[in-house]
Amino acid sequence: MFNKKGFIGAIGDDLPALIPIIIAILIFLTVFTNTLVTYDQKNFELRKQIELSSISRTIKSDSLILDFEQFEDNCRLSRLKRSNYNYMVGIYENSKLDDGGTQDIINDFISASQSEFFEPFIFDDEGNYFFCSYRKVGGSRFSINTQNYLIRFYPVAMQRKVIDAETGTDIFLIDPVIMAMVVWN
Amino acid sequence: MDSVFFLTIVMGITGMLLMFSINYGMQTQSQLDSFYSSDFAADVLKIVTYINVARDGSELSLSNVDSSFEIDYLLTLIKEDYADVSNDRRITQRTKNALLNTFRSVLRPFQASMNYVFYIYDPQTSRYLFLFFSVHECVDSAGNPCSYNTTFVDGVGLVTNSRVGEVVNNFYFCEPANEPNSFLERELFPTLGRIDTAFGKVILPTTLDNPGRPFEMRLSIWVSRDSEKISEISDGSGLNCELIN
Repeated sequence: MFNKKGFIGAIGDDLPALIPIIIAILIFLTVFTNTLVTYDQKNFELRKQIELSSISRTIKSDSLILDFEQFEDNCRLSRLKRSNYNYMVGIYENSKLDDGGTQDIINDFISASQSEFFEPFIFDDEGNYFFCSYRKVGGSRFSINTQNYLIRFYPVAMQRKVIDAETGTDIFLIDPVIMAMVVWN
Repeated sequence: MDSVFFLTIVMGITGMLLMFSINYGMQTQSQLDSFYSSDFAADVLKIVTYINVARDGSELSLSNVDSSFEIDYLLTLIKEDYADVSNDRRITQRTKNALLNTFRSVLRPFQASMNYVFYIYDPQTSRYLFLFFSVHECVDSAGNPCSYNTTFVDGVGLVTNSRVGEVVNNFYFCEPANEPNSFLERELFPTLGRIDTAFGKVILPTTLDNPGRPFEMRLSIWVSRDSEKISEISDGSGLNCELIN
């Protein structure tokens, strides 16, 4: 001890070397934290899309909707999955996409979420709207302020009943319609 | 000096971490996008087999349906046409119209940005029965391919300034007589980037009283882009295409 005069210690003896070490540790910690956050965010977004695919498959089933009961059964089945995301599904006439496009459909979903106004969606002859929604516990409503939402369109065939005005007989025909689905956090 | 080595090593590791955070999920995202397009295409194929159309090929809407209106499955019209030997198994105009109305309606969400081809082909003979294309083309007012205005700029050379014409969505119905099933896979698809395809099987009767044999039907979708091969469709070289807008 006495023959090492002026020796402060391994670190104290080389104070300038501390600067790159501290810089390196700071850079590493910053990038590491940033990577973890990005990883988490991307995983969340990917899971949302996977969930959207899975739920849409349950609801559209074999891409053929025969009646409201079948649609409601599928909707109930999708709710049983207890998704971590909120979603709404509505069946539209194909011509809907000509009028106002996607923005119009988003506005319809906002209205449906806020005030349960279902007018734009297809309804059957008993007045049931082909509309399905799910909100997780504590989930927010879909609104104009909702960020990170995802919207997808799927073509489906739907059996429609038309009553012949002359004879009064029921005519069933299968028509293409659009299933729109929105998912948000 | 040791600390500089330490700094270098840490910089290397952080570089790798940065690369990881930038690239992570990109491939999965691309696969999910592809899955969505393929799923969409598969749904369209299912709808083609389910859907009712007017037997005269006119557009079907709920308001023009009554008991005097003849309705049938789209697939029935295709089967009837194929079984009709007296017409050389050719697809009739009413079926072409019904196909056009169906695809226009079903693929409406992507009509503005996607091109697609729906086709049925015979795996036994490796020949197309027919091909139905929806492509975006740039045409001038006379219907010819667009020309480009070019000017000379000093030090730069010829510069393309503007395109004379507009992009329109054209539908072509092709019945290649002798073309083997190679145009799409070997010539067209390699020039178009990512193609998402859905497959299905359909049994077509060779005569009206025959149970028939399986044919393959496919729908391939891609993002609209310019390709010389697309213009070959409208040229009709080998594919025997007609415009059916």
